[in-house]
Amino acid sequence: MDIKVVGIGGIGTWLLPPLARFLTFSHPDTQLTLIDGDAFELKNRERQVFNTIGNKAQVHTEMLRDSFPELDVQAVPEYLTSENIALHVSDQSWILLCVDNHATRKLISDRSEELENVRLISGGNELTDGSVHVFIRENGQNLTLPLGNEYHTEVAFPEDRNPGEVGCDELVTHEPQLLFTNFQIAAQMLSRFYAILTRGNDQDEDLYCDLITGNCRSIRRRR
Amino acid sequence: MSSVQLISGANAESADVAGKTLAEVRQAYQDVLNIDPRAEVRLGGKPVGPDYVLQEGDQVEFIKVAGAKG
Repeated sequence: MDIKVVGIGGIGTWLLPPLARFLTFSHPDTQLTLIDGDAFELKNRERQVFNTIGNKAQVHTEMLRDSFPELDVQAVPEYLTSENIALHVSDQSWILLCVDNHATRKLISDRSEELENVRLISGGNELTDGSVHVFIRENGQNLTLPLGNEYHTEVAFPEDRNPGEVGCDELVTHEPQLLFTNFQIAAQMLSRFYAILTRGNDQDEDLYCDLITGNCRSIRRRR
Repeated sequence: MSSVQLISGANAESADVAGKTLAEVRQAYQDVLNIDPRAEVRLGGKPVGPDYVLQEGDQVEFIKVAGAKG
C-alpha cells in the first residue's frame, strides 16, 4: 500500500503509532509517507507527541523508523499546496488527512477527484466534538461524496487559508483544543481505515463523535 | 404531540415535538443535542426554514459542520 499521512499535529501524532504498528505486522510492504511543513514547538507538548524539536514530518519519521525498522517510512517536510499536490497525491494512494484547515482539505479532495482510485479519510475536531469524512474514488467514479459538498459548504468554500499559501503578513489563528478529542478522532480515522481495508469501499461519508455525550454516529449522504 | 427524529452530528433523539416550529425545537434542544449555531437544517435531505411546523414521523438533521482543527 501507498499511504500518505498529511498533518502531523494533534490528530496525526496520535494516529501514527498504532497505524505504523498495524502496518508493520499486517501490511509490511506499505510505503508510509508523512507530510507536514510545520515544526514542533515546546507549546505543542500539551496535545502532541514528539521527542525533539524539528519539522513534524521528519521528527515522526525518525521516531517510527526507530520503533518499526521494518517499515518503509519517508518524510516530506512541506505543506501541500497547489504547486506540489500532484507530486505527492497520486493514483492508488490512501490519504489520512489530519490537517487543521479546510483549505487544505478542499485542495486534496479536488486533487483526489482527478485520480482514478483513491481513498481519502479526513478527520477534524472542535473542542469536544469532531468528525471523520470518507471520500473514495474507484475506477474514476466517486463512490462517496467529495469532502466539499452540499452538506459541507464550509469545506467546498473554505474561509480559512492553507498554511503553505498564507503570506508572511498573515497569521493563522489558533483556538483551544483538547487532547482527548484529538485522540478520539485519530481512533475513528483508523476505524474507517480498517473498515475500508476489510469490508471494501462501500462506506458512509460522515462520522461524528461527541466527547461529552459519548455518542458516535455515521451518516450516509449519497442516494 | 408525536414523535420526531432530531439529529445533530453524533447525537440523535426521538422527541414529541410535532406541531412545534423548527425554530422552537432548535432553541429547546440546542444544548441537549449540541446543535451548532451555524447548522443548516434539512428535512428528508432537503433544506427547510425555521418556520416549518414539524409533523409526526419527520426526520430533521441539523447539519454539523466538519471539524476544522487537528
